[in-house]
Amino acid sequence: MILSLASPFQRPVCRVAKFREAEAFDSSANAAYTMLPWRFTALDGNDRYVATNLVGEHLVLDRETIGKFARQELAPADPAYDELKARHFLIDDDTNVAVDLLALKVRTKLAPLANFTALHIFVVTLRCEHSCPYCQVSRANNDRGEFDMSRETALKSLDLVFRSPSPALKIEFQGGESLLNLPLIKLIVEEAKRRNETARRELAFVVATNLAVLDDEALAFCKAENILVSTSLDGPAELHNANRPRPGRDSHERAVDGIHRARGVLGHYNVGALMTTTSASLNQVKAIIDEYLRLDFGGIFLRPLSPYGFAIKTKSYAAYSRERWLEFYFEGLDYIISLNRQGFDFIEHYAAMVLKKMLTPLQTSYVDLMSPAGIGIAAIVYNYDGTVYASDESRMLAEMGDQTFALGNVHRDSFEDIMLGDALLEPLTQSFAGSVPGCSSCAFEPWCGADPVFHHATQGDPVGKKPLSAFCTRSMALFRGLITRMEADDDVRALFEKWANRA
Amino acid sequence: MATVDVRILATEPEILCELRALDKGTKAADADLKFRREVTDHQLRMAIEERTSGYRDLILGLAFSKTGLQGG
Repeated sequence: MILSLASPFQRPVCRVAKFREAEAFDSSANAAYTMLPWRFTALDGNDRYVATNLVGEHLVLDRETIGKFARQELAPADPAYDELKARHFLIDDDTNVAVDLLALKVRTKLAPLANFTALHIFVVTLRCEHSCPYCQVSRANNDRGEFDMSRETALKSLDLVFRSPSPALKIEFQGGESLLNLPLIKLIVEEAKRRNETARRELAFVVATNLAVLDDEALAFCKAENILVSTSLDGPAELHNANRPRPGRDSHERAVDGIHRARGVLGHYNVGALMTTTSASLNQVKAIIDEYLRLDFGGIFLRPLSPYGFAIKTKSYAAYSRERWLEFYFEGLDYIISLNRQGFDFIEHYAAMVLKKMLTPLQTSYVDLMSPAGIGIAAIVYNYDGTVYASDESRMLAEMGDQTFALGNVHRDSFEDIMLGDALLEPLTQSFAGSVPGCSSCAFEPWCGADPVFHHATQGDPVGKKPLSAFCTRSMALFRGLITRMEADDDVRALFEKWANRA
Repeated sequence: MATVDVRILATEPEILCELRALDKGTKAADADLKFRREVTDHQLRMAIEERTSGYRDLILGLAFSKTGLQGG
């Protein structure tokens, strides 16, 4: 308002000027912002997009906002501006600290790579008394001793274990049924502990077992050596026994009995279980989850079949589509969310691992979700015959006659031969998602994995054509499903944040 | 998962894109709209990448400069 006094005898004349727009009073209103690296991918059919920054922090934005921001036309008064600024999508005259913060977060995410291989899997025998049609590790009859790992092979394998610079070493015993070669497990644990007196690593052991042959001797040994137990539980008795046939048709009864006995000796939380989804599981996801609840597990890992081993030979892998598995998965996830609303503290581990990547600056140790891929550099397998494989899946592939990911042999090759050979380095470098066509421009790339073994198995090369990749379809559907649920419900967001910080 | 196959016929001065549905459930109009959106989105992605690549290199350079892995 401007007052003009023409003379002392005249009434003041009021001339009113309109206020300028609010932006005129904002010192940064006309300051251009600078975009930092970001990507976007459609979330759904409602014009919503997921935008991620360099380290995977995300926002859900509408199409118009995406376009404005990309064209440098987003006004500071736009509600999205501050959110983009807070998540390091842009810098402006007010602050450019985002560059240093992003560098710090990149370094945090990649830091575990420097530790190198932490998980060392010993296949102590291929023998097994089960004959599961979906078994991803081809088995041998349980009286054929030539499928046992020898003492010499075990000791040579331990040489390689302790060459890894990782401050934490986990040795996992697998089979076949690992407990059928308990004497060798005992030898490996004893020898690893002896070597660790000077190596001074954080050493841990896990026995993967179906529990059917678990006896007091094995339990006492696990107790004495602080060994964790991981078992298979596919659901209620009828489903579990159909999936996992054995003489006597009592696999479920033995597994449940073994879980109780192992918990009684080792402690409740030192016994874990994994399930495998077969076509018979697809209509029973709630019953499967209820079985895990009944047995007082704190969560479940709803995982699909992998295209390896007997799963291919018996056509189990092709028995259901990826779309059908996704229906199964989300039905299960929604059921678990509803259980949490009712007060049950129960977690879905696959979602939790993905959410850890989405909502924290940390990485997961789940090999499938690592990029660079986790093969060899996060986990490695010493087969019963001394062959070293890049991953458990690589061993399964080899059982089908494909030795692509056989890295060497403990009796013939040095640590350097195995870790620096083309068989490992080529798939690692080729499949790095940050530079792969289809992945490098995808907003979900910071959360995703490379999985060169899966793409080799299904498409014949470690990179794979992503529009045809079942891994890509499954992962993208999972990311979208989790974000959609978080966006729709603040309680679900709070639950997912809790899972992310526990995974 | 791919729902449409695209054949690109580049004949100056035109570029002809031929869309073929990979399953019977895909409608031609939907496929056309989706394809056009995908093209414009990708152009935007390329523009963003071009404008931010310098900062990407800077941030990655900063991140790796403090890992303690230098010097062999």
